[in-house]
Amino acid sequence: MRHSNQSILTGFLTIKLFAICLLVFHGFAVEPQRVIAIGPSVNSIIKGLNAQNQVIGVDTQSISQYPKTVSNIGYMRAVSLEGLLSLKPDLCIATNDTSPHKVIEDLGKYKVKTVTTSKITTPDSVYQNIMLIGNALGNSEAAYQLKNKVMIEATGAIKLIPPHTRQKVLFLLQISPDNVFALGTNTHADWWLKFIQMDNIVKFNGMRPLSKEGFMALTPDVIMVAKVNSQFQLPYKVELETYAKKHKVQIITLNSQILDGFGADFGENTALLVRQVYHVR
Amino acid sequence: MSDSIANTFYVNQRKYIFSFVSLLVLLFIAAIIALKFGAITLSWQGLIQNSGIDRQLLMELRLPRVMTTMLVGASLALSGVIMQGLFRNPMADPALIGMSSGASLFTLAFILLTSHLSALPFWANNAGITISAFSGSLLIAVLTYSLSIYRGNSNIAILLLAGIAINALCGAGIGLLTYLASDDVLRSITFWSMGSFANASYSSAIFILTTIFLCSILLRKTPLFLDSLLIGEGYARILGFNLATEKHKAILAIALLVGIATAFVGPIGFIGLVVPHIMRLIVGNHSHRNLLIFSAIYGALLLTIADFLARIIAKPAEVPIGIITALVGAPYFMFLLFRKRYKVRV
Repeated sequence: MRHSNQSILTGFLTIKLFAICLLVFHGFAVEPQRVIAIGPSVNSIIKGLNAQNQVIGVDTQSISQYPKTVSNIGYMRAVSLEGLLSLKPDLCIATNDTSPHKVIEDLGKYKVKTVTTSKITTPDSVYQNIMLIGNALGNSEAAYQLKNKVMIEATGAIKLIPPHTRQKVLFLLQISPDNVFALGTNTHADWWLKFIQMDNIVKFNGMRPLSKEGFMALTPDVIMVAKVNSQFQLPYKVELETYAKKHKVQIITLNSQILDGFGADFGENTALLVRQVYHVR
Repeated sequence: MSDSIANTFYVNQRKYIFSFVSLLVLLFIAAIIALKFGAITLSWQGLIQNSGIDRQLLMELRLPRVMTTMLVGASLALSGVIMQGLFRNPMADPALIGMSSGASLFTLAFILLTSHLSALPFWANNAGITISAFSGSLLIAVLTYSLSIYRGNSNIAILLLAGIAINALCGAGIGLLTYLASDDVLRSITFWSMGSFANASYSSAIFILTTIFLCSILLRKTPLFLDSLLIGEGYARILGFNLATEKHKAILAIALLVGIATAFVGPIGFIGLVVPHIMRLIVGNHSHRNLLIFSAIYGALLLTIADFLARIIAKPAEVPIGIITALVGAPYFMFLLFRKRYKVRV
C-alpha cells in the first residue's frame, strides 16, 4: 500500500516536472509578436530572416520597406519612450547608435525585452548581429543560414580583389544637387573603403563640405559619389567630368543607403563595391 | 470724480481677478489633458488608481514632464517680462543679449568634448549639460553687461549692440563646433538645439522650481523698479532705487531663469518674446507685478499646450517642441505687429 502510494506520488511529480519543463520550453520558444525595429541594418536583417510580419513599429528611415499598418516611431536619433510603449511591444531591437539610449534601457522597466546590436568594427560584428537578432526573434536556424550566406558573399567578394591594387579614393555624399560632403575618418564610408582595401584620401574626422577646388586639390584615383536621391545629377558635373577625363580618374555613383548596409545585404553591398571599383565579376 | 476713479479701480480689479482665475482654470484643464492624452491615452481610472501600467506611465513619464513644461514656460515668460521692462524695448528677449546662444555654445562644447568618452553615465551627461548651459548663459550675460558699462552706468544702447556682437561671436563658435563635430555628435547637437521635454524628470522640475523661488526672492523689488523705469531712470532714482544694483539683480535672475530652462530642455524660442505682449493686452503695462504673475501662468499654459501638440501630432513619434513654439509663436507675433492693436509703451 505504502509502495503504491509512493508510485502515485512519483508519477504525479514526474507529470508535474514534465509540465513545468513544457511550460519553460514554451516560454523560451515563443516568438515575440510585437517587435519594434530601429535602424536600417536591423530592419535589413529582419527582412533577411523573413520576420517582417512580427514588426509593428520602425524608424523613419526604414518605414518604406513595410506596409502602412506598421507605425512610424520617428527618427532613430530622437525616439520617445511613451511613443514606443504606445505600440505595446514585447521586443525592441535597436542599433547601437539609437538615441537617447536611456529610452531603450528604460523599456525594460515596462517589461519590454530589448536587444541592442553591436557597433560595426569588423565584418564579424555584422554576423554577430544577425545571430543576435535571429535569436531574439526566436528564429536561430534562419539566422544561422542567413549569417552563412552573408559571410560567403562578403568573403567571396573580398577574395576577388586583385593584389597590390590599393588606390586613393575620394568618397562624396551628395545630399542635394549642389551640396556635397567629403567623408573622412570615423565614417561608414571610411570603414567600407578599408574593408575593400582602398585608401581614403580624406584624413579629417567626420564629414565636411567640399568645394569644386577642394576635390581638384586632392588628386584621387577614384571618386565615389553616394547619392541620397538617385535622380540627382552628378555634383559639379562639368568640373568633375573634365577633371576625371584629364587625370583618368574613375567616377562611381552609388545609392547612399549602401553606407548603412550592415544588415542582410552586407555581402551584396561588398560584392557591389568590389565589382564597381576593381571591375571584376 | 473720486467715485469714478474708485469705480474704474473696482472694475479693473474684477477684470484682473476674472482673468487670473480663468487662466488658472485653463492651465488646470491643459494639465489634465496633457496628463491624460499622448502617444498612449490613459484611462481616467488609470489616473486615479495606485497600480498598473497607466499609473506607472503617469507617475514616471507624464507628471514630471508636465510639471517641467509648466515651470520652463513660466521661467521663460518671466525672463521675457523682466528683460522687456529693463531694456524698455518690446523686442527684447533673452536671446537678444546672447544668453540663449551662450547656453547653446557651452552645451554644444560639452557634447563635443565628451563625445570621445564612451562610457559617460546618463546622470553625468545630464548634469554636465545643465551646468554648461547655465554657465554659458550667465557668463555671456555678465560679459555683455560689462561691455555696456559706461562711466559707471549700464547704457542700454551699448548693451543691445554688445548683445548683437556677442551673439555673432557665439554663432561663429557654434558654427565651428558643428563643423568639427562627427556625424553622430552633429545629429545629437541638431536634436538638442530643437528642444525637447523627453528627458524631463522630477529632479529637473524641482531644480527649476527652486530657481524660480530664488529669483522671486531676488526680484522682490523689481516689479516696482520696472514700473518706475517706464517714467525714466531719474524717477527710479527719486524713488530710492540703486539703478546699478537693481539692474545687476535683474540680469542675474534672467541668466538663472534662461540658463536652467535651456539646460534641461534645450533652447525654446518665442515664449519669452510673445507671452509678455499677449499679457499686456489683458493687464496693461502699468503694473509689472501683475504682468509677471499673469505671464508666468500664461507661459506655463502656452508651453503645456505646445508640448501636448508635440507629443500628439506625429504619434508615436514626437515633433521637437522648438518647431511647435516657432510655428505658433512667429505667425501670432506677426499678426500682433500687423494689427497694431495696442501701442507698445515699455
